Amino acid sequence: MKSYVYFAKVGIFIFIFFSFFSNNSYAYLDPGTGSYFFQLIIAVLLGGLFSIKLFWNKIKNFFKKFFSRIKNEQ
Amino acid sequence: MNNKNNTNISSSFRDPSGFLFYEGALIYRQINKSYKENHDYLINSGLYKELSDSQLLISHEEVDSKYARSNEAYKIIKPELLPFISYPYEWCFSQLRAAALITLQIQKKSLQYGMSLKDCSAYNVQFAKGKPILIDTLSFEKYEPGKPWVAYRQFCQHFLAPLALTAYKDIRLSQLFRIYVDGIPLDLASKLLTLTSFFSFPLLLHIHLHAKSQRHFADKKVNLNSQNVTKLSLLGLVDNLESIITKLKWQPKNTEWADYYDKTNYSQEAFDNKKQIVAEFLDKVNPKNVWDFGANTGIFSRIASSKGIQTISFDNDPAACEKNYLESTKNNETNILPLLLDLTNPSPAIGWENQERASLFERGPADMVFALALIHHLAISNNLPFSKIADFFNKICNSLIIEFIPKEDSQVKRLLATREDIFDLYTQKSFEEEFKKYFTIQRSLNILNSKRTLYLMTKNK
Repeated sequence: MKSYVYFAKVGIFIFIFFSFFSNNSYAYLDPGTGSYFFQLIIAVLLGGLFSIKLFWNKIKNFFKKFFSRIKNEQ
Repeated sequence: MNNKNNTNISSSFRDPSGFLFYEGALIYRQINKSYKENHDYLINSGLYKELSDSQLLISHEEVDSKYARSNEAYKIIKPELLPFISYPYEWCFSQLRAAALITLQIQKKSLQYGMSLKDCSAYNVQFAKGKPILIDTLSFEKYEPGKPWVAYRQFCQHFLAPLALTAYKDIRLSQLFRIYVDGIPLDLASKLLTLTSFFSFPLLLHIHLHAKSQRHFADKKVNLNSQNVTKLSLLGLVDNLESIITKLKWQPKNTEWADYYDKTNYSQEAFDNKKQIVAEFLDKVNPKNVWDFGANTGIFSRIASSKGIQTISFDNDPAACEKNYLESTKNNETNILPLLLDLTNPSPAIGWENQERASLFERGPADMVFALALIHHLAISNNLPFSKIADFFNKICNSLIIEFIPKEDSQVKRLLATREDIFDLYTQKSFEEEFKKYFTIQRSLNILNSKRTLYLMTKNK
């Protein structure tokens, strides 16, 4: 299961990575700026994953609270 | 620490926001007018209070502007004084990891308060009272919505790359820091890392693809203004870095010294007697600080640190240093700092004009040095004559607790087992004669049930 998630992540990333590479060119870049541009690309992916993580944590917390309440009531 | 009266400190010259300088024995920081807005925001937003209260950022007090060094000065602050400045190439794995994690914790807090770290240099983190702390008050800038994290590349070079290399490949690769003063280049880290690192999504991203992207864009033209990074994305980036750094582990095994005390040739009685003599000698001098060379996991260092003496526990074995640090954190010890150091090749001065990072000598002299079970390694394993060893200790300390181990001792016999004995001058008499050129022998005591002698020496006036 873990490896499916991993390959899905890589697949999504490669898609986003190359879709950004087709941008217009205006400024000359040194290697440091290449790093800056790389961040623009991965931030989209990591922001998405972070949202899912936050949402997932909310669901987990909801069920944790829910079951602990049931346990307490018993 | 050397008294560098009224000079600027060369580690801070790169930053146009301000610089550090000595005024007598004290250190001050000038904040320039160009940094006014960011500094005021750091203070007024409550971020400074939050970070300094939780001991993540060094605290400071504002002082009179009469100390200003130029017309550029906006404010002068006096940061809390640190007992010792150490560098990333002197840290064990868990120390660099802890420094990385507090840097990310600070970045998360900063984003909450509407600021962001503009620098992520490992040199901006120091160890004080046993914990890592950010010492650069000028590392913060107001967060501009949409702007990426400018210190991302530096974070990867200073923290992620060395941690990944040491965890995945070899612990000795931490020494690359000595060559690359701005952290390990990502293309080099990518080449050196094992294939298994490609199966870690964060490492694939932040090291391998990051390095590829740097190379790809090096000679390309792109429009930087067309992209925005949301705050959520920045938090996602920090969260992802935090998750990989938390997962990176290094387990010391099969190293030379970490289990040294299990292999010593002397009895428990001799060991206890040695501890007792060291404690007695220490009380006689009552030094301000102690540097313990060849400290191993810090058993003897703790005799000093438990008396409230600031103690640096140096060893050249990363495993011993790691064990020492983990023990100090487990017990919340505040007076001991374990550091990695090869005494036969101590940290040099590096960086611009060889002045950005100080050599070991420049950070001394220590009030007292421990050289316990060390001298035979220097003299026999490293062919150093006693005259050279005595001269070294003369330069590095004011007083000395040193152990002489004769050739009849089984540890010395072991060192000589596979080599020709060319050390005719390795005698106790010659040892004393050479050290007497610089030191006065205050006491010397034989360790019970052993052939070893402990000396207390103080420097000749």
